[in-house]
Amino acid sequence: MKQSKILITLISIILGLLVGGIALLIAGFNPIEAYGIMFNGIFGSPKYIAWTIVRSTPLILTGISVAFAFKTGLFNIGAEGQYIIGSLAATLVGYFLEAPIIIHAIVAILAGCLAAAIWGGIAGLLKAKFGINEVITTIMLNWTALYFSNFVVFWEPFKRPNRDASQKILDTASIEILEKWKISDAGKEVLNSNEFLKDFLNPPINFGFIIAVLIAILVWYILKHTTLGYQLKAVGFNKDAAEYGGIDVKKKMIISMAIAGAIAGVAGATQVLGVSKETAILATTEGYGFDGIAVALIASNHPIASIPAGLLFGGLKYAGSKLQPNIGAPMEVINITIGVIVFFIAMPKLIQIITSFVSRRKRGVEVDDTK
Amino acid sequence: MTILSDLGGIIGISLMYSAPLLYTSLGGVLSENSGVVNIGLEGMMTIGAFAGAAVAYFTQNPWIGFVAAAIAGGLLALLHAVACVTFTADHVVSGIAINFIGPGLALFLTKIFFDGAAMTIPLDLDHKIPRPLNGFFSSISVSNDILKEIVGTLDSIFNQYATVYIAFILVFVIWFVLYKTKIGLRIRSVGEHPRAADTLGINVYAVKYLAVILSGVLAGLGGAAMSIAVVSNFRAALISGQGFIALAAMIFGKWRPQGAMWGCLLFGAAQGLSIYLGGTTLGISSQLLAMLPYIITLIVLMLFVGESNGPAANGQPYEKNQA
Amino acid sequence: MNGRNIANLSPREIIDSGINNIPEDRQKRGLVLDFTVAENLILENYHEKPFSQKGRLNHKKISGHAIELMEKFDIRPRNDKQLAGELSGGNQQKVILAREITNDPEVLIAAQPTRGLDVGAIEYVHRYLIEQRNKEKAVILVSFELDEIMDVSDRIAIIYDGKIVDIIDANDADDADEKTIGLLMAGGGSSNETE
Repeated sequence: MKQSKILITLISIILGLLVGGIALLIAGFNPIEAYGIMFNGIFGSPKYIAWTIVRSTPLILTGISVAFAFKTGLFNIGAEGQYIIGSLAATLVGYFLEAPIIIHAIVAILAGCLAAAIWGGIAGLLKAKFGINEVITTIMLNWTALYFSNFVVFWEPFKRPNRDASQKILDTASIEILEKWKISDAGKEVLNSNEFLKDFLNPPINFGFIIAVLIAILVWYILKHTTLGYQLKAVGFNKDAAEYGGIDVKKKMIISMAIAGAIAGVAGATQVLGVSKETAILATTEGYGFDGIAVALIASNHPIASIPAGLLFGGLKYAGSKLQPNIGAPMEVINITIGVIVFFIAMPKLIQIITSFVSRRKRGVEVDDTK
Repeated sequence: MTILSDLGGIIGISLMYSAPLLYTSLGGVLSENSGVVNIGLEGMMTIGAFAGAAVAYFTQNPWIGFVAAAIAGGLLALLHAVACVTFTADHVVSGIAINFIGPGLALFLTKIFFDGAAMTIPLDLDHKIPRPLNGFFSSISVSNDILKEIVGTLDSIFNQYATVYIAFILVFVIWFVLYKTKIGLRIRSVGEHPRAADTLGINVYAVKYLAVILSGVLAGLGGAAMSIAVVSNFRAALISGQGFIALAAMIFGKWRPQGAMWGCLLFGAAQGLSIYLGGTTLGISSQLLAMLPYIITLIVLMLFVGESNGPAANGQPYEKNQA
Repeated sequence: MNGRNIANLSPREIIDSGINNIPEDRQKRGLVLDFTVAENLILENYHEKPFSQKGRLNHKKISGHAIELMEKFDIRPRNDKQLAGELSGGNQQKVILAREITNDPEVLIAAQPTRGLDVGAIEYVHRYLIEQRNKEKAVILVSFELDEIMDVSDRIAIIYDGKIVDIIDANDADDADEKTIGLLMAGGGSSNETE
């Protein structure tokens, strides 16, 4: 990322936090106190740090999904639906397939990846063949995915009796780190002697984060060093010129959406295998896909930058959830903050005006000093 | 003869669900015809839904709430206008920001004004948007069974909240303004070829501001049409996706008000059909029924729309001093 | 093209059969403004050696190739990582020229190649077009500028109403004067008829 972009992003984040603080102030809360609670809520203990990582993992992945799509000229607002399809496929494989540990998880993740790739590809196909804007198709597909997932969960062999959810995945499919060990007697003994580890392993810390980092690197590599990445970017930046240069624009659009879908599918899969261990029946979507859009924008659509951006977003959301129980402040202030951050990121011109104003004043002072 | 009353029921529900979409879709039409892509309709609808419900509760007057919703939507749209028109922001990114700020602010304020509750206090029937034709049809006394059926059907169809009627009137109004008035011509020309409009002396910035703010006003009204008519309060997830459906309707309608109307009606009808089927003894899974409107929309888009192009300069920031 | 019907083939196939095109709208079809100069220069050959192998791009070779071309065609500033959108119109056109000509195409179609360029740049373009002709390659120049056509062409085909109405030998002093050509462009009869 260029220097100026990083600066703009940082300033936007600060401005966003500022506006959030002002909103809290107007509502009668002490913003310093609120931000203190939030800061403590993330860094205050190893448990909180672990939770932040856990909460951020799906956001990092959906962020990469949306970022990748943006880089190729497509708006993947369908990460939400692709996430659902990915998590459904992973749960199905996690429950119905019998396989040894590690292999089971890998197959489940691949299943989620593939299913979601197809889901994304449908939108790509509709755009390539029928010219329908991907924003519209993916939104329709989001809702379709939600109800389809619910429908599948209602299926007898898959549904858990007396719960609005599916059966849990088999232990062999889990990617939670040291899941069984930490609740075993031997494990508890070891952990009781080490406060840090005990706290850190309390939440369902899982391999998802590592998978997210690997995927970020993979996507970065594809975009920067492969002919596929070159073609996809060309189509994204200027499809007329790309076509002119001999690139098959339609095919590339489908591939782009499929890859973006695949990444969002991994988000769903890792969340299931690492945290929830099941697919629930939901009335509305969980929002990871939608939040991923903000993550991508904060990361300037750079796959590697999606990691800190996802951590920031996840951290804010996690810490924000502690506001209400502690001082009664609505956690929605976080949504406002994030919205404002994205808002300022949308206006680099405004920030340039602010920074040049600031630097002009500084220069003015220097000139006066020399007199 | 129950087919008739069933049909009436479906039509009635369809109209009711289409109305909020109509307001918002008309808002999209205005904004995009002036060349500003407005993905933020969802956020503007949400803040309007909140403002409508909250103000209607505190003033115990739905119409004041309705107006408040318009103002709230317009103010949020002002942010979008400032970003896109004055600071040449990427329209899509700004719209996404609005979609976080709108619902965030709406729920934030709900919790502030309603004692930490995540919803506004519901309005009772007398203080919601009225139904002007309520009791009109039922007061017609007919002896004949068949005629009774017909009257009942008419009641299902036409006994709607006032907001539904206003929505359809607005379709005509927006059409008239856009195609028969000077300001409408200016809006459209600014969206097609801003530089040409500029050289003809039109204030491109002012026209865009107007169109975007109006789109927020309309989206706000759409939100209120949900929160103080279809239901009786505002809560989280009341507006989830309607703003985007309205966008789809706009594209379906090729950026024209009358086309957008058909798009909204289509979706509303699909929704009405799915609700109706859910009430029958057909035993179709409620989940599959819920999918129906979205799949129908996709199929219709595939069959009838194809490559759709908006106004020529849609989404492009306009700068006066560009080479 | 060499006896093969190339109508309705994909752009890729047409390029591969030896035809290159300098498009009329350089910003729309000729360049990806968000790509660097180097990336633009390989827009048609990114999939070939030495620029890539087995799907993996070789940035060193791509960069080297770009620097070489930038020298040859005097593209400024001499920074292959410069975004194409930041170049002046003339330099943008040179990038396109460099790309299309170095393929050494059998047929080069140049549509309005000197539009918006300064005198020096226009000279470059004309020089290269003639060089291609000297190498016995075919060059089709499409232009509104009568002066340019008359300076550079061997034969002139005049188009009116979508059809070629006449083809004149540029060296023929009688036919190849502005008045005659102008008349034909406006739909007047062919030179044979006016005789």
